Amino acid sequence: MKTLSKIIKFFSYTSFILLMGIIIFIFLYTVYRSIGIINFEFIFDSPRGMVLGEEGGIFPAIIGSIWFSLTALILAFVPALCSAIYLVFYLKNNRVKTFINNVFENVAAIPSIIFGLFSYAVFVYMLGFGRCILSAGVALALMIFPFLERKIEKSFLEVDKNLLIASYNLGIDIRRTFIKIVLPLCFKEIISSVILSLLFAMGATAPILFTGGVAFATVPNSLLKPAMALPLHLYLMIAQGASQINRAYGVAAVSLMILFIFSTLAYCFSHKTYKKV
Amino acid sequence: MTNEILTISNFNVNYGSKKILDNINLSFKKNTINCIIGSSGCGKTTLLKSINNSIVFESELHVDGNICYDGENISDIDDSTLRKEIAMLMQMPVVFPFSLYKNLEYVLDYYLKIDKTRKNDMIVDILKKVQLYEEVKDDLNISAEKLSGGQKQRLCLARALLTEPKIILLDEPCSALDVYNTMCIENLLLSLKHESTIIIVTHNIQEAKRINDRIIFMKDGKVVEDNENFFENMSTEEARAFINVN
Repeated sequence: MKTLSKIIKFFSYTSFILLMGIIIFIFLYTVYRSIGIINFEFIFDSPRGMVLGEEGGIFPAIIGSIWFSLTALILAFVPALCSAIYLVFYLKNNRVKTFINNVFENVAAIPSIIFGLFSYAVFVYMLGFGRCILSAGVALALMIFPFLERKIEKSFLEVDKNLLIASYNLGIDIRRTFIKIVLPLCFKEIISSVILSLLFAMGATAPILFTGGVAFATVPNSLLKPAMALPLHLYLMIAQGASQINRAYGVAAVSLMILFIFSTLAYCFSHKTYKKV
Repeated sequence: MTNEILTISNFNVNYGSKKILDNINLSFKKNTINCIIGSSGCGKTTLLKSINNSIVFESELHVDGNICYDGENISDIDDSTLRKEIAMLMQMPVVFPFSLYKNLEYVLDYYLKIDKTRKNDMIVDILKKVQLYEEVKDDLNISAEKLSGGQKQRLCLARALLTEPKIILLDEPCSALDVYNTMCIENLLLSLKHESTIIIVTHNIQEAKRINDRIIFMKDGKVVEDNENFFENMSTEEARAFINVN
């Protein structure tokens, strides 16, 4: 038994060190290769060059990424929140609940490019919106919806049921109990989930490929305009054989830094101040 | 005018094929303390939860029969209204993650639109009523979670009393309390009898002896004995056996 436990411990530590090593290596290598590339001009200028991105900066791509992910979040957040509230506090039929959860899980398993195809067919083509942030936002919203809904639902389920019953036993209805007890307890985790969903959307390339992401665009000022995006910009730079591969690493490093900042924010918000269970 | 505030007729609760409550027929008079005793698993808590319809929180239970509160079937009464009139205290006191003051304010804000001064007065009055005020008056903003078990239970009782319930259900309210806090709760219940009907589940036979107007003895989901002079005149062998053991 002791030997088995030592073996398990060995593999656990080894896996952890290996994984952390790979992540740290990717991060450090990307930053190392981008040294000398990231400067004020790189962050705030527009891309230029025979192969787009060889010169100039990535500012439109940074802003475009923010537009895409915020649009997706706004479209996905309300349905995700309402679905979670309904499933946890209102729906009593366990069979229907299981069915709905299975549907959400299946949606989560759909390749993101399919959402892009759907949005292309309906929004870009059928409804005539064309390639724009809104069309891409819908595709991204469909992609992040199950993830966001699951996290919010988990947060609600972790609230001590006795707190809810104590409130109901005072004759206080679900709405008031949710607003005054559940929401304050879950607020920080919901914010954390929102930030993580934002990052999830920001990193996606396939759904925006033919719905709203373009190789070159100015800083967007409307949902009905197409935009650049960081992951798409990176993909195009490498796909077109950009000679200055270090600039591609620069794009990657900026993406990682945005990821790091938002992840840290999400972690800070997820720190519980109330004991829930 | 009938003196009965609650009647339970032909009431059954099943969990699959297992009978939790079996053909319960009871009625409760106003302003009485009714103690339900019996061994663990005999259905006491389920009976209590059925009265204020908090049994709906337990999934997979099948309920059959009638419970009438003040002449009206509880299935025809909105749950929030019913639970305002029939308050329930659980065995382990559950305080909300707010201050002591806000725990009480939470109830007042839901039912009344009153100014801060009146609210403060009501909170002080209710804390005095449950004999908690002297212990906490220096800091009403203390987190309710920092209170002792007995203080929490009295806070929960204060919260429930703010809704001015006609019936108070208590599920072993003193099981986790020391002698002092138990006596506090018992004295409170004796004083509250004049305002509300009290139905209390207890394992403490001495406690039941001290405060009861009536004992309901349950076994295996059935009411075996229902007696206002239970301890003086037990009529069933099961009841005598239970008391001897306990």
